[in-house]
Amino acid sequence: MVNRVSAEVEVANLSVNFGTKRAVRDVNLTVEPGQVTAVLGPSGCGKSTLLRTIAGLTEPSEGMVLVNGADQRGVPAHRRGSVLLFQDGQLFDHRSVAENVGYALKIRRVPREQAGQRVAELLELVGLGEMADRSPATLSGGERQRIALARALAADPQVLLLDEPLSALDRELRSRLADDLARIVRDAGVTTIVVTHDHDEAFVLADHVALMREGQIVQAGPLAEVWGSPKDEWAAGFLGYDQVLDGAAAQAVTDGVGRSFTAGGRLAARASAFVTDSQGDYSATVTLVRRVSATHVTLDLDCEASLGHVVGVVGRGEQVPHAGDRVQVSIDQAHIAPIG
Amino acid sequence: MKRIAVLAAWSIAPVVVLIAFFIVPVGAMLVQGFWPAGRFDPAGVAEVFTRPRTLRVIGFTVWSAGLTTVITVALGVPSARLLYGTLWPGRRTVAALFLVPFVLPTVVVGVAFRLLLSESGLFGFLGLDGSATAIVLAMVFFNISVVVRIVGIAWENRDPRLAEAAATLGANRLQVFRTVTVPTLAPAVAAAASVVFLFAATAFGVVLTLGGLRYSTVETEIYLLTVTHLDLQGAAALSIVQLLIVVILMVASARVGRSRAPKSRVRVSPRPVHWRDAPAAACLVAAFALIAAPLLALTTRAVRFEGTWSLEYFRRLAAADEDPSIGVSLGEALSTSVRVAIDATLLAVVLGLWIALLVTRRPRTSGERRLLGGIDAMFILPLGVSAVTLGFGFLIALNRPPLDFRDSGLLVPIAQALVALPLVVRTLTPVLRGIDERLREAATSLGASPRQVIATIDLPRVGRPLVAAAGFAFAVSMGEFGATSFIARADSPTLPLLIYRLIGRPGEGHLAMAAAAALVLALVIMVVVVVTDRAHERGVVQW
Repeated sequence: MVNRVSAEVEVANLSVNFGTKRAVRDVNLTVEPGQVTAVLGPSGCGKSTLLRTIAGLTEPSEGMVLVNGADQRGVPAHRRGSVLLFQDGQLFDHRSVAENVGYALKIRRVPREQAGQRVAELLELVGLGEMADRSPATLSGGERQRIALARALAADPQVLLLDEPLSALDRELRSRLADDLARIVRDAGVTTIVVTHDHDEAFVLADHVALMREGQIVQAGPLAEVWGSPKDEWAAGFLGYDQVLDGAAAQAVTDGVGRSFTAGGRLAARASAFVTDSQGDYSATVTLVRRVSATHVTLDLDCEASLGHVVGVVGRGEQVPHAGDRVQVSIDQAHIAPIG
Repeated sequence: MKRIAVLAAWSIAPVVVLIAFFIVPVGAMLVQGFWPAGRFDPAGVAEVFTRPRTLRVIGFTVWSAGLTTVITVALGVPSARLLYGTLWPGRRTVAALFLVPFVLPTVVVGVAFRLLLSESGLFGFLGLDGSATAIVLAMVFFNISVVVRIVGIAWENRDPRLAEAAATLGANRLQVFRTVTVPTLAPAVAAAASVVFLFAATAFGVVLTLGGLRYSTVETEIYLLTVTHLDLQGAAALSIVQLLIVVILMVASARVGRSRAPKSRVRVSPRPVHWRDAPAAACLVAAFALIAAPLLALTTRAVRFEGTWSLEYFRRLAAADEDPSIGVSLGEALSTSVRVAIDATLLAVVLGLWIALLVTRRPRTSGERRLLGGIDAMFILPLGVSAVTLGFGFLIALNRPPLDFRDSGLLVPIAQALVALPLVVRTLTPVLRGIDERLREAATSLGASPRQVIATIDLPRVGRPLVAAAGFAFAVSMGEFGATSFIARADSPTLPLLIYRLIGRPGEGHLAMAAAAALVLALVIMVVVVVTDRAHERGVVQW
């Protein structure tokens, strides 16, 4: 596949105001060529505005976007070489699937034969080769999103901008498309920024992550790094950690796993950090059994000693306890991270 | 170039057209009023308002428009509920007939009502010929389709689940009606009422043909003052009154219109008729009779001669150019009308599409918002100024350099295009605004320039409404009377002018000829509207 050389994207001191509302506040972010960065934040945090500003669809109030070092102010959206993929695809329903995919090629007056070949290639790539003549209105949500992706790639973008690409889909479809999306984007080697409120989606798609809150970037870096040391309690919560331990409880965990986290620091722990285990070191009373899904149960545990109240899970091969049962618990340090 | 500069550049052409053919003529008229003999004399204009006749005219305008609105709503709302909400044989045909009056030219309606109410007419015994009641009835005839259409569509699109929810919560029929039905329909009824009041308050042709000199509205008074009395101060004063009334109404109707509920996705299926519908059915029958009777009177008068069916009056019309008091044949007048209407439709459609595309671009900065908002507001102006004021303004302003259009064949088409323009813009802008902005953004992001976005996203969706808008523009232009009466050349009148000329001649024979000419005009317009509306619905035209 012939691609434009992937671009470096730099967002410098960017602010976007809507009237008195400050949607994006002094954001700095660098995305290396070919890198996939997830901007992760709750709805309304300004992440979509950030993406639209990079695409050139929203004017920055202050600061700028640079692509390969070139200031993008004054460059109209259609000349930016960055393609925005909307949450719900925004397919052109009055055109066929193939015409949708070939849209950018037609705009650039690519010869018909060459364009047709490229469209066929891209439809194969997203696994919908047989859909070429269908109307987009007849497609399912997942198929529409695949077509939208093929249409975006046809524009041969320097930068691919994905706005919640999976959130309009069913749970099951989401995980399948997420894998395909991750593969296709990586294979294309195009610099990608994906905006999402779902940390699982971010983990599947991205290698870098930027946490965004109330218009500001809270923390950014390689995925493992951010994941391994959330900056604060909010970041930990948003990354999917179920609880924060501090004081004596944190000390007890540190002592228990024999690994030195920052002394006196707080710890973020997933429920899976505390596992029922008949060989475990800690005794605890089950105060509540919570069925989260058909196969998944979390437990509220009242632990002995300084550990106190924690949320845990049932260990592999262990019986699901009842409220009031006494159980033994062990700690899985892989699911614990220091905060800060 | 910055986006705002591009948008501003695209605004130049329509704004220049508006200034040259609207602001200059209307301004010229006002200048003549305020600066008689070159000296500023506002006292002269103020004096107009102390005349008893002026107050009587304003009073009559408000009274007749108000009464028209009340009657139209009282008949129209129950009719709309029956036509759009219940199931009975023939309801579609009746619903289609209810839309006919809206596209009929005012002079045609005037002639039809004169025939119905004249001494020899079917209802001549009522003695209503030339009465205020006749004027109000004719205006009800005109506007009932507006109410039926607006309220009927709102009624069809209502969310039935609200009433069902109220019923399951224990509300009885009357309570459901009071707490759910009335609040859901109220915005549509209010919007329809304000439109009706607006149309009735600015009616010209109907009042002139039915009221003669006894009853005058602001609009016809402007005409009489300028044409017969050459009292420009009086005309200017009334033009300002007219403008004020219209602006207030339009602001009010925009307010009301905005609060309209979103369209429900649940289709309401019409229910069978019930004996409870009897009062509504009575309204429907009355409204139907009011629409059908004048049309019937018009048709029969045109084709009956000395007690038998005959095309005698058409024959006389065809040879009317030999009668020096008429001076033009039906064929000549019709071909003038059609030629002018084609030019006017082209102008209105091109300009209307241009403006609609411009004002529906999403502003990205506050400067752009102000620019586009200003353009949007500017082109509602032609709706607010009386066609008579416009026509007279044309007469006095466009007859000297640099705007010398006196001998140009374009003067009448331009005036008619301006009258039809708001209609075209108002048909197209909702369609364009209805397009999800993110579709345009998706296209932009894929590399489409603003022009390519218009070509690939906007135009494919606007094709069918454009055909319908062109049909309406053609209908408006064919029937336009107010502005045309000033500026059309005496030796080549349009069909409505010929009809007006015939009404003015003494004798039953001339009135019958007017009926024949009106029938021809009505048929041409209805054919065009039906064909374009069909194309609109069935998608004959594909882009």
